[in-house]
Amino acid sequence: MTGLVWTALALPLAGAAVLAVLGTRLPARGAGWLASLVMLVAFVCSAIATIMLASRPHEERAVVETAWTWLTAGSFQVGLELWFDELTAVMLLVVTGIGFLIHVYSIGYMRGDEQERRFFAYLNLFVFSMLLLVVSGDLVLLLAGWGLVGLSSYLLIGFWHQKPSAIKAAKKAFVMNAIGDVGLALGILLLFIELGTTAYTGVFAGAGSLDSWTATIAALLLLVGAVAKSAQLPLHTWLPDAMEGPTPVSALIHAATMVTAGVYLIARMNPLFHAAPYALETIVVIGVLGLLMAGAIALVQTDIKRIIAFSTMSQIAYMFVGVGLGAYWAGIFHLFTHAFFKALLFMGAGLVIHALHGEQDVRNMGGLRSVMPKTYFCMLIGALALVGIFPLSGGFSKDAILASALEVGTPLAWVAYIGGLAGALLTGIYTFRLMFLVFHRRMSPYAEAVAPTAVKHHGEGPSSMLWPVYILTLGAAVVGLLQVPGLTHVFFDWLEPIAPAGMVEPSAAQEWLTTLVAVSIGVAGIAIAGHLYLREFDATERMRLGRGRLVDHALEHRLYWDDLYAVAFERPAQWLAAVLRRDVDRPVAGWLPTDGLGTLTAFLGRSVSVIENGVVRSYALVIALGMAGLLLALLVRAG
Amino acid sequence: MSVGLPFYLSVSAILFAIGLVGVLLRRSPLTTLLSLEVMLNSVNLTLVAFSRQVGGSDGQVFALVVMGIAAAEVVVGLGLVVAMTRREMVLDTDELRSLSG
Repeated sequence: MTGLVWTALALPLAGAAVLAVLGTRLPARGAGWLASLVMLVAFVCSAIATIMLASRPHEERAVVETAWTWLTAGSFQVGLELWFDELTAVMLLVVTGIGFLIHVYSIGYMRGDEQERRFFAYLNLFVFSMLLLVVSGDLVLLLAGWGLVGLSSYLLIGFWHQKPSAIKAAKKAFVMNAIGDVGLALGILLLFIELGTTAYTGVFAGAGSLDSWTATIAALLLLVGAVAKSAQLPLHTWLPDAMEGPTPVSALIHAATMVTAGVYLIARMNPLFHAAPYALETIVVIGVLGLLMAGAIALVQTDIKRIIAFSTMSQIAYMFVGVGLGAYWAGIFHLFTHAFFKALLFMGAGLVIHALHGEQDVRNMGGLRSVMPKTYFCMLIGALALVGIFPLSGGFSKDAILASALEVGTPLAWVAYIGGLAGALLTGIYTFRLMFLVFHRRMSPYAEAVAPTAVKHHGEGPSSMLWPVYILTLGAAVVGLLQVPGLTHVFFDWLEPIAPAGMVEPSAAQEWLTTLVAVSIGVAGIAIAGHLYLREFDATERMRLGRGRLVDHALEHRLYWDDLYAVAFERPAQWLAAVLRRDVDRPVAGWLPTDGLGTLTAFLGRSVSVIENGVVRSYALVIALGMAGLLLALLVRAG
Repeated sequence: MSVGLPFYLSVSAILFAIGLVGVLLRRSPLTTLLSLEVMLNSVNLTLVAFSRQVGGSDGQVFALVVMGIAAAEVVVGLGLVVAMTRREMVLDTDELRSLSG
């Protein structure tokens, strides 16, 4: 069983290595199929391993296996440790399964790009990093995976490196994630100092014995890492910019897998968070604020991918609320369903963008329903699942989170409940604003000029792009049935053992009540979107809420977070550099015949480089003289 | 009268000096390589002489290693000379200053 997991882990790495080494010796089309084949085998391995895990008795389901110890310092050891339990199995299936579909989709999407091979090498590298993150049984190894997903995300966001905006977005994502990495690393160090180990077994066993302050600080530091990786407040600003990457990347990394790593971390570390109730409350607060803020900002965005990106941030905030309330299974359940419907929405958006020759502005779309009926149908299923309409998948998982808030019943949980329902309204509005603007209404002049001919010649997309979308559509429709309140109980039962301290589970009545309320609110949201955006209006008009200038301005500027960071960090750094140059560098080094310290060192370097003239004989002379000098010195000392 | 250690060392020193002068003064890569070879063999002579004096075999083994390395070095050096001749470059170490192009 563990052998299969090791195989699933090693295959994408091997795929990335082969693609990188063979490079242009591979046919361009072959690279995509090779990478997809690797993913398919990894998925099959994960699925078989999961079935084998399920056939074991409950108490034997957490498997730990150390391949070898790769870091030893005194009594401290870090092994290449595999941790395979129910939570790992869910993550494995999501990463390899959705990953496989997105690899296949990419074959069509990246066709004609000159650097397909590099793309698939990066994509396989990402999958390896993500798998390492979820199967590791040691915090140091998790940190390695954590850093590697950040790296591959950076590489893929900046994949089109000829676009300055893509480079900028990649750098931004990397820097924001580096902040989180530092937090996570500090948290791990603190746990090591207190517990003397970083292996999960030791940490889980020792978490209960930590005093509450230490546990809280460690949990909050881990939370910094989770917040940065999952694009939550206040380190969320990189996610919308990350949409500069190719659309399959957005679907895989920035919707289905990497951004949910924070939720995974919290669920995985639940014994620690259980010992730190303040940290859990912080998670709920971050979640509630994030889901409302991201939902509101999504209302006014004009870039189709950015709308979905803010929606992703909002949905991950729901997951944060879930795990923060102690309903770890609900958070992971939402992660699971979200991976389906959000990847589906991104891939649908990719089909639309493809048909419109790269246009991403929703104002230049409209009326595509008649031109792209298959895409419309699939995205409609995805959108309904996102809004949480019964009986599609998103509803069950989101309502499970909200019902858990009812079950918890503290004042904060009530705030989360109300906030979550308000978020459901926003979800309904922004999702169907997107659907109506893209697929309904009259066609914009641009879409009219481009889309019908494109679809006539190529169809809605090559079959390698359409089939993954169909499969995801099916998934988005049915995976919620794993956990129907009062009827099926698969997901909760499966994940129950991961939290030794127990998990919050709402009653069926609470869930059905929440579903009733949430679905009505979602339908109300759709109705509002219909009222606002189904009527005809000038497509060049700005997409306003019509609620006053201030609100619109604030939302269009994403509540000024980027401006805040510019004022708080960027400007002071520039100011400091200017001051140092004017008041320190010039006065200190000003008397030299050079301009400041920088040019001084360059000048010194040039003057020394004269002796490196390239004449071999002069080098030989210097060596001979040096040797003679040494001999002389020896003689003098001996004599 | 047997030939003693000082004689070997003197011959070795003279050979080394000849080789060094050759490396420093001649500009043809071929001659430079030859001179280097003379220097290496002068050192070999010293090694073997000392080895005989001391009575062990370490020095002789070392001399063999030096020969092996000298052979490898000459292969690279002569290969370069051949390559330069094929490209009709000037065989003058003073002219061959830069690695580029």
